[in-house]
Order: sequence, then structure tokens, then C-alpha cells
Amino acid sequence: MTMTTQEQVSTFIVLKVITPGEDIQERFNVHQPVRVVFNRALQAVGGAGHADQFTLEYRDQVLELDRTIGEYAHEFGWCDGTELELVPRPEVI
Amino acid sequence: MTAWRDKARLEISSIKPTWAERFGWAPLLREKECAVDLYVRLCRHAASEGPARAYVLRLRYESDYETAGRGEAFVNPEKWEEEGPQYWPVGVRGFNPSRTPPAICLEGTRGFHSDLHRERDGRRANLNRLLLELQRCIDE
Repeated sequence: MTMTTQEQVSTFIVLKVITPGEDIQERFNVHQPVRVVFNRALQAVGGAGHADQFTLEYRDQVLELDRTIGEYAHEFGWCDGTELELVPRPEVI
Repeated sequence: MTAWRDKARLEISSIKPTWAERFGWAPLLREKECAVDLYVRLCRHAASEGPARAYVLRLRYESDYETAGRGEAFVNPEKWEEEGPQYWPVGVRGFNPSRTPPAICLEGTRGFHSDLHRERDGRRANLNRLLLELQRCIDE
């Protein structure tokens, strides 16, 4: 079944994630958890397997990875091109 | 051979403008005969210190920086040629101004890879990550 433009707009959102390495800008399904964005950004910095060393943030607020992208989009008014950040937790050992 | 110098310049040029502007890092590169120095301003907003206070960190890139780390030193904010433990922020997690030489225990510094954690490979360090971690620690 082919989606209408309105359905596509409401189902997908283009998010940019600024990371310490390569930034990503991709389309995500708003029904998916934010963890999907987090994992994709982790891949971009070669941090897969080190999820505990990073947080995904929007305007200095740490995002809960199990909430859906749509929930945050509604709460914060996210639109295509909204910027998130993958931020390292200081690892002092 | 200046391959390391080119790599250092490239790494410094990769500092994310978004973060540099937000945190006021004002990165500045200075070439020296045997090193490339990166100066970064780190502002501390600790309530105990009253108004925000600015520190200037110098990260020194030498020919072995990829494995040995970037040499860390805080300098006199007014006269960058002066360095010493008196210019280091006090009470910051991971910052060790009383060591000889003073060191920061974060991946990417010379203190980390050449002194405190020699077993950790410096080649996986990332300047943007180091700067963010420094900022986070100083803001705690």
C-alpha cells in the first residue's frame, strides 16, 4: 500500500545527530524508540558496545531511550532537521 | 616528515562549531618548531566560585601524539607562555595538578596514555570527545 504524503510526514522525521565523530542525518520512524537513533549515532562514532559511555541529548536534556521518537517530537515540537547530540560521559578511571 | 603535523591540524579543524560556540572554547592553533599547540578556553560555572571563571588549556601535539596523547597544561589566561599548577582549576574530577607533571585522567591526554594508563591505546582517542569530557568534568 502506498502512503500519502500526510502519512509520511506524520510517520517519519528527519533527525540530525551531532556526535564527536561523523554527524548523521537520517529519517526515522516516529513509532520507534529513541534507542534506534542512539544506536545509529553510536555506530557513527564506533561506539557500539560502549553504550554506557554516551547519552543522547536534546538541548542539554538526556533522552530516555525507551520513549518513542514521536513522544519527544510531540513534547518538544521536533520537526525535520531537529538536532540531537550524542554526548560522552566522562570516563575517569 | 610532517604527516603527524598535518593530522594534528586536521583533528583540530574538526572541532564541532556547535560545541565550540556553546561552551565558548574559542580554539586557537599555534605552530611551534616541534609541536602544534591547541589552546582552548574552559569556563567553569561552579557555584562555589561565584561568577564563571575562565581557564585556558593547552593541548600540545608532538610527533608521537597519536599514541602518547596530547600534552596537557593549563596556562596563565593573560600570558599563555606561562604554565603551572597554579593555573589549574581545583577540585575537578580527573584533574591532577599536584602530579609531576600535572595530568588529566581522560582518554586523549598525554597524562592518560603515557603516565596513568599506558595500557590504553591512544589511537582511539577523539578530540571532540576529550573536549566534551573536559567540559563536563569542569562543570560538575
